[in-house]
Amino acid sequence: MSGKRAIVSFFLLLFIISALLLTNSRVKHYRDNIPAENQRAEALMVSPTLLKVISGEFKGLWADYILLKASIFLGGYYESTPEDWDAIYLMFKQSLTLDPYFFQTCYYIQGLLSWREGMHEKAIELLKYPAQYRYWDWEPKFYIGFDYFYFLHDNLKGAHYMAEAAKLPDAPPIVATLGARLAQREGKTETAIGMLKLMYDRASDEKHKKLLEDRINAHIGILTLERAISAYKQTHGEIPDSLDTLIHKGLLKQMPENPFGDTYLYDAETGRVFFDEIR
Amino acid sequence: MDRVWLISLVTLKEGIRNRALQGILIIALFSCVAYLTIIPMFAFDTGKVAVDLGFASMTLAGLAIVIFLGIGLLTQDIHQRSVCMILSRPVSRTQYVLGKFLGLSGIVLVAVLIIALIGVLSGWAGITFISEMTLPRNFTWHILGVGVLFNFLSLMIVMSIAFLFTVLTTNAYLSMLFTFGVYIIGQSLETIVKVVTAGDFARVGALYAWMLNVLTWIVPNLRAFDLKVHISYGLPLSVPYTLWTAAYGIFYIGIIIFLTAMVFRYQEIK
Amino acid sequence: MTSLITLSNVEKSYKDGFRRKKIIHDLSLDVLEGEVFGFIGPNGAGKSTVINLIMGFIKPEAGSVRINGSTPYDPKARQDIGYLPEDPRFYNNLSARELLLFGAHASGVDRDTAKKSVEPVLSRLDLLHVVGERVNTYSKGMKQRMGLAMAMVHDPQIYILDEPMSGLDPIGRNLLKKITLDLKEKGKTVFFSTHILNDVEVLCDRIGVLNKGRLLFCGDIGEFSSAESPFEEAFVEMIKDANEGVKRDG
Repeated sequence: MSGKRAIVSFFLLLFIISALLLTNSRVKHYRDNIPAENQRAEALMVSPTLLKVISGEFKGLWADYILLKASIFLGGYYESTPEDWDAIYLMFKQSLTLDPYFFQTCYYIQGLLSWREGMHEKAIELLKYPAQYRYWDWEPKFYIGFDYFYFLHDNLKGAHYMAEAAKLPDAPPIVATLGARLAQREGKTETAIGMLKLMYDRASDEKHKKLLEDRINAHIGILTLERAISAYKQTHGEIPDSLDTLIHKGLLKQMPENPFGDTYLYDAETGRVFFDEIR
Repeated sequence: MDRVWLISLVTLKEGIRNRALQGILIIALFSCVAYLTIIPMFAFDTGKVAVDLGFASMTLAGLAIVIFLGIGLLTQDIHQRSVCMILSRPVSRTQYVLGKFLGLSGIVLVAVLIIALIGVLSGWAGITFISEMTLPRNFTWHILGVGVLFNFLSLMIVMSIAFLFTVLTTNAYLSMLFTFGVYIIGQSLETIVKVVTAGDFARVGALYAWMLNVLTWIVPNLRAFDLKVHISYGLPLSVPYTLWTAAYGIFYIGIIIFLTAMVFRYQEIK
Repeated sequence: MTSLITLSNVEKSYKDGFRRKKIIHDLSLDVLEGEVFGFIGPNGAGKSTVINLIMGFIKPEAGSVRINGSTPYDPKARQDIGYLPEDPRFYNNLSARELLLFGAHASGVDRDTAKKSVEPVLSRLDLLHVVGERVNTYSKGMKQRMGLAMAMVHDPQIYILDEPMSGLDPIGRNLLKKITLDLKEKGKTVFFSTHILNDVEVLCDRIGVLNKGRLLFCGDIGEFSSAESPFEEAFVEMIKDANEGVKRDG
């Protein structure tokens, strides 16, 4: 190559590389700062069954990839829209149809979808896949039992799934106990604490553990208040008109802390205690 | 530049008349229309389904053209020596590379436009005759046009990479394999990096995260050119983002073609 | 007379596994303006390699190649060359007309001249009847003649033809001989490789004999053969002696 041509080529190369680095950095900047409302969960709008057919021998890989796409939303799900949740539900369904043995999907469903208002039944519907296919694993059945009890207040179905989970090898003994409690329909708050503690021990990531820890502490607070209310009723023959009454009457030294708000909410007509308005 | 246009025209003619292209287009056209039969099965907003499937047809057909037809034509030229017909003339190797790339781009552009047109027509037919089918939210022709253009740009990036690999390897299948690999990585790398660096549900070592970051500067970010979500949900598309992304695509193609010309200049044609 | 094609001490090797195998050994030859130069040798002698070196498709490891005083890697050097490869390959979906127009334009011929030259060239090569048909419908002989048409369409000064008779029937070969003699009469320079010796005797002014990458002879055809030693015999003898010499030298 002649000298002149070599120099021209060198500067042309330098220019293109510089332009490429600049444009790539700007594109990265824009894409890293996409507003939350623009980060849509993207589900390929194909029926899971069709997806299973066309993915051939790459079902597992595709299941992994779909789950990966859904998991982007685990960081900022408070800002998502109902359409996103429909799409996330579809992605979980696709992933499970492709690979119903995949525990990661089951774990994400329980950690993410179950807690979402309006998605409880859908989460249960999805969890039934791994519950069926992972015949050796007590956890999917345990999750279903918890969801029936905690979100849908269906103790009968909750007890059934807890019992099924308890039969499996390696199931912690507490699973059987929890199932029995559900069957008795008593000690709901203690049952909830027991289940939440079990899930906390099984959780593998910090964000999920923090969520569960807050719930456990909230329920412990409720249990404390419920016991104090019960003691007040025994003494006075009726439930107190407010939670502060329990402190005035010396049944509580101080109000337990509510991780979800300033104080616990109390229904003076029924005597029930809540940690947030959605319950 | 005359000779560049000459080569690009001859390449375009050769490609357009190729039966493989015609076959790919027929399948794409069929799939563009076939989705109308499955729209009623979907409960979700059908406009989005139409966009997804229409663009899927365009991308799949485009990829088939790039990987099978494009690499096929290049292999015929470089490995089977029909390039001698051109290089025995007063045509430089750089002119050949540029002309060939432009010609191949022309083939893909024609295919993309045909499929886009059929997609629009079948979409109109769907909205007119199928009650379940609706337009995507906040639909505009402008955003559809930009979406089609970006789809074309991303195919051009893949084509340029296919060209480089064809010149570097001695085997058409190797070239196809590597090109497809880069396509897959280019589509999924951004997602993987987001999950690894920004998500709370995965923890990876610093070295691995650094390597992934380096890779984002080398492998083309093909996700940036995917505007299906914007079209489907009527999301705003900023002008700066559009311009920067288009510029990124053009400069990426530029560097790959530059490298291809450099490699080809020193290559022996035996 | 000016030398239009000059090879000086050219050497070329190829990779053979982990080793390098020399294909062309210290080769020097000139092709003079206006002559027909026959480049002969047995199969595998390296004739096509030499032609690839002349055309700039490959580069020598040593020595130099010049065409009309320029290096073959400069596109301008190929302005005045008409090249026919050993196995011509085309864009099969194009017609003869489209290919020739492309060839002419790419060689710098203006549009009007190019349009006017297509049919006479095809007519000369007995391809006018398929001017509008795609090349993938042609027979091997027709493709060979099409290759020559591509070499001729822009009326170059230098013709470099690699095994031009390959794939031609006797009628085709006769046609090609006539064309070569016509070109000679017009003062064109023709360099062609072949292993068919009859053609060389009739057409060539000078010849080069290549065997296993070594130039055994370069000079007038009259110096090569004589009444006592006819052309073919002289050629076979030369090759035999060369091979025995190589065996002796190990």
